[in-house]
Amino acid sequence: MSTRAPLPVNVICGYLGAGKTTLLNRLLTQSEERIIVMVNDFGDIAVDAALVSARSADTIQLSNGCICCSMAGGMFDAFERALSLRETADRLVIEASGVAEPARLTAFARAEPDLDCRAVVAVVDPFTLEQRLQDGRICGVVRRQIEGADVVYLSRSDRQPDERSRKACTRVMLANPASAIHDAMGKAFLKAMDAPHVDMTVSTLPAHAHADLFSRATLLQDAAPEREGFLDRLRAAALSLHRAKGFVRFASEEAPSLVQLAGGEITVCKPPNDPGPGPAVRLVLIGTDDAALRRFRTKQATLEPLPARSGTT
Amino acid sequence: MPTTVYSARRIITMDPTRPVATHVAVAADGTILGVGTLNDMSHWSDTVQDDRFADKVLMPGFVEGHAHLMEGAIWEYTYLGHFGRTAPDGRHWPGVDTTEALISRLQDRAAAAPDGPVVGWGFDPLFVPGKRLTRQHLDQVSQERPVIVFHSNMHLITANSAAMDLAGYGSGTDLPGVIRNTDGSLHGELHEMGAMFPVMRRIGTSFSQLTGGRDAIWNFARSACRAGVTTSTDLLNELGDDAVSDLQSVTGAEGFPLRLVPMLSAMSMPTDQLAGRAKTLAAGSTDRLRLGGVKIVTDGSIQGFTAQMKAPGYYRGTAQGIWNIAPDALNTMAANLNRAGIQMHIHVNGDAASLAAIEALEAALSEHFMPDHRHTLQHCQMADRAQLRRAAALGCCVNFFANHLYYFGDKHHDITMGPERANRMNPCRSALDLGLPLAIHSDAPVTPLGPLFTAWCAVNRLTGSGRRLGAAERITLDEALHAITLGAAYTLKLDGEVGSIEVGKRADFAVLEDDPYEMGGEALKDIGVWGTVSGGRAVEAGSF
Repeated sequence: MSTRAPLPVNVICGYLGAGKTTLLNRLLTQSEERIIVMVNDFGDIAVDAALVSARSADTIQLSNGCICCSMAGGMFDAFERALSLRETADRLVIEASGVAEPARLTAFARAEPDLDCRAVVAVVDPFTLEQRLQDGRICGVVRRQIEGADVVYLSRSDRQPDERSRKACTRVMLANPASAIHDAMGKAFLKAMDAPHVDMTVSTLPAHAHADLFSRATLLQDAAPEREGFLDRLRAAALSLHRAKGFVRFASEEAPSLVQLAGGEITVCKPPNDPGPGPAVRLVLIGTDDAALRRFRTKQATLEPLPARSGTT
Repeated sequence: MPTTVYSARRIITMDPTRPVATHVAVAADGTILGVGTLNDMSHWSDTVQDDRFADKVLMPGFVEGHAHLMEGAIWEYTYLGHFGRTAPDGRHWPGVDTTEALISRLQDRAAAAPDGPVVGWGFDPLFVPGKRLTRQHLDQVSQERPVIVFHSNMHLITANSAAMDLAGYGSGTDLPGVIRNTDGSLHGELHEMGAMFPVMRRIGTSFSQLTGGRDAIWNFARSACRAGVTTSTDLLNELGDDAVSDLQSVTGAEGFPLRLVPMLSAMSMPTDQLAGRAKTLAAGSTDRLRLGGVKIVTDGSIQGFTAQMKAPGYYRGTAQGIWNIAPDALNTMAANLNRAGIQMHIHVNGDAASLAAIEALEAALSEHFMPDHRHTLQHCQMADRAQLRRAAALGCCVNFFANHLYYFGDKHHDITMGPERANRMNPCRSALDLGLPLAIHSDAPVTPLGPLFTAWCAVNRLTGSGRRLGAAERITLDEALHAITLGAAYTLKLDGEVGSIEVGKRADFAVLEDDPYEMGGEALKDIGVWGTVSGGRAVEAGSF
């Protein structure tokens, strides 16, 4: 309905207390863009009072051009309100509730022609992740938040890493090796946020495709593979794969490449964002044929992943 | 002003000291002065005898403990459901059984309004044999105007080509929720809000416009009157200042025949502001507008597979359980509201959700004793007896979704829950045996507003196909009539004012053509409703 370019949208998800609001407050005060932030709860927005230029029941305007919008009244109205502010903004950032399924939110941003779905960020507190994943009531949504993300932001980087937090990083990488992992809100993170969203979740497969039928496998490998051999093996498996995405640092190459497989087509290119350090091969595979997924993985001679080092300092 | 003495064939009072009567005296201010025989009325001087109900049966006005004002708004669109249904204006819409009938009904609608979108609601493809409704079917209604059909669960629409064009959906579209045929062309179905949003906003429909407004409130009162309802909740409302002002002016209008009890949505504002807002709202209550309660929504629906289920989960189909509030956040919210003395109505469908709510209330009540709290578990369809024992120990109320047994019972038996758990859904007998205060509801517009039908469901537990689900959970006629009057009033803390015909209470009556005790529990749903008496004033269905 707008003649302007679609509004870039980021979804920031993460369970309660993961650190979403801290990240958001930093974004609001540090970004050079005019950002519309959609939040559930203004109470969380602790921007410098000096920055607040106007306040109403459902918006807070900041002097740097950013606007906070309430999601009260539901997603329909919230998106409509944000779109009505299109002319005054460069970006829409949605702070999802702690139990929001990211796929439900990105569905809006992907379907609406006036919106442009960019990276989904999952905020993870590495010190409590294990505990969350053991809570039967919420482990599913916490897992799907990580699986659905393009960028995982590990909070609490001010704390000394310990056994728990190191284990959490490995867990994140196992759950979603295709995500770029960051632990600081620097330029690299902002660039990663700007990359387009790539859907790698089983839950958002076309509705006629029964999600039950799909398996998801993760491939992590420290040894850098030869480019041709690796791509040949991937091509051979392509028929039984619905989708694949991840980062591969090929032997004798310095920078990792972004490898994607969709609709039987393999593309290899320079990653739009810095994936952060990690094993040479970080790939997530989705397909209907469990055995084929396993075969491909075995052929790659999977090694135990190193304890992942986080961050992109 | 004189006192009116109504005579009736029979007055069922729900007052154990005087269960039946033939006359009731009502003061000019709408208070009941006397209940008994003609002789008992002789005490009052300056009376006017009103015999218009001499061949009718009076009951306490029914109380609907879980419905939504959307019932009054949704009729702006064309009804396309499988079950016949009556609109607020009294027009009966027969059920739609074929795709041809659906197309023809929408064509009539398109012809009646010369331009603009054509919108239908209530459609359920499971009940329509043959090929599933497609975009091409709806193109037969119009090639130029957008045509969309809301499915009964409101989570799906089917749209015609013109509507798809508006959203920019085409054969190359590859988006979650935008359904395509095997050749890649658009099927017409759009699943979930994300995919529906671009179409709906471009034809000017939204869900918020279906949640209130003055016309919707009046329409809701019309439907209520047809069902003998004199007090009803609107069980989820943002209650912003505009909405409150609409509610105040409509319910305050001369002759508005319904007491409305809207509940503040807990998602409408930060948790720490909820209690304050609820108290401010409560202070603005009037006789016909009761504010102050809070509604919390935890999980989704069973038929949508979005309810939170404990192991072993769903019988068939893929679980997609959602939390609308994290269990940890529910604990905090329940503790805050309980501490502030605010009554909570908590939507829980699956047994993992009812468990989370029970645990939250247990913690809240352990920390702060709130006498006579009447926190109510709403729907609570899958709670087992162990959970009900805990709820009883806490002093909670339950309001079961008895209508589900009829409308979705077959689906629950065959698909969602399987026979064992379908047989113990909405366990009214267990609740009463455990001493839990019980109400039963329609969740209108999810199912039609009609407490007598809801009572019939609880008494008979028959599904749409005639299967009986869990005979052991049936309740008696007396118990069912209690649940739709005093029982529901109790969950709203209004049992001191309405719910029975007793001296000092409001003269709110359901006026029935037939006597439930003569007809029997099996025929409850067939009892005719003339209308209501609201605050002493007779209001015939269809008269306003």
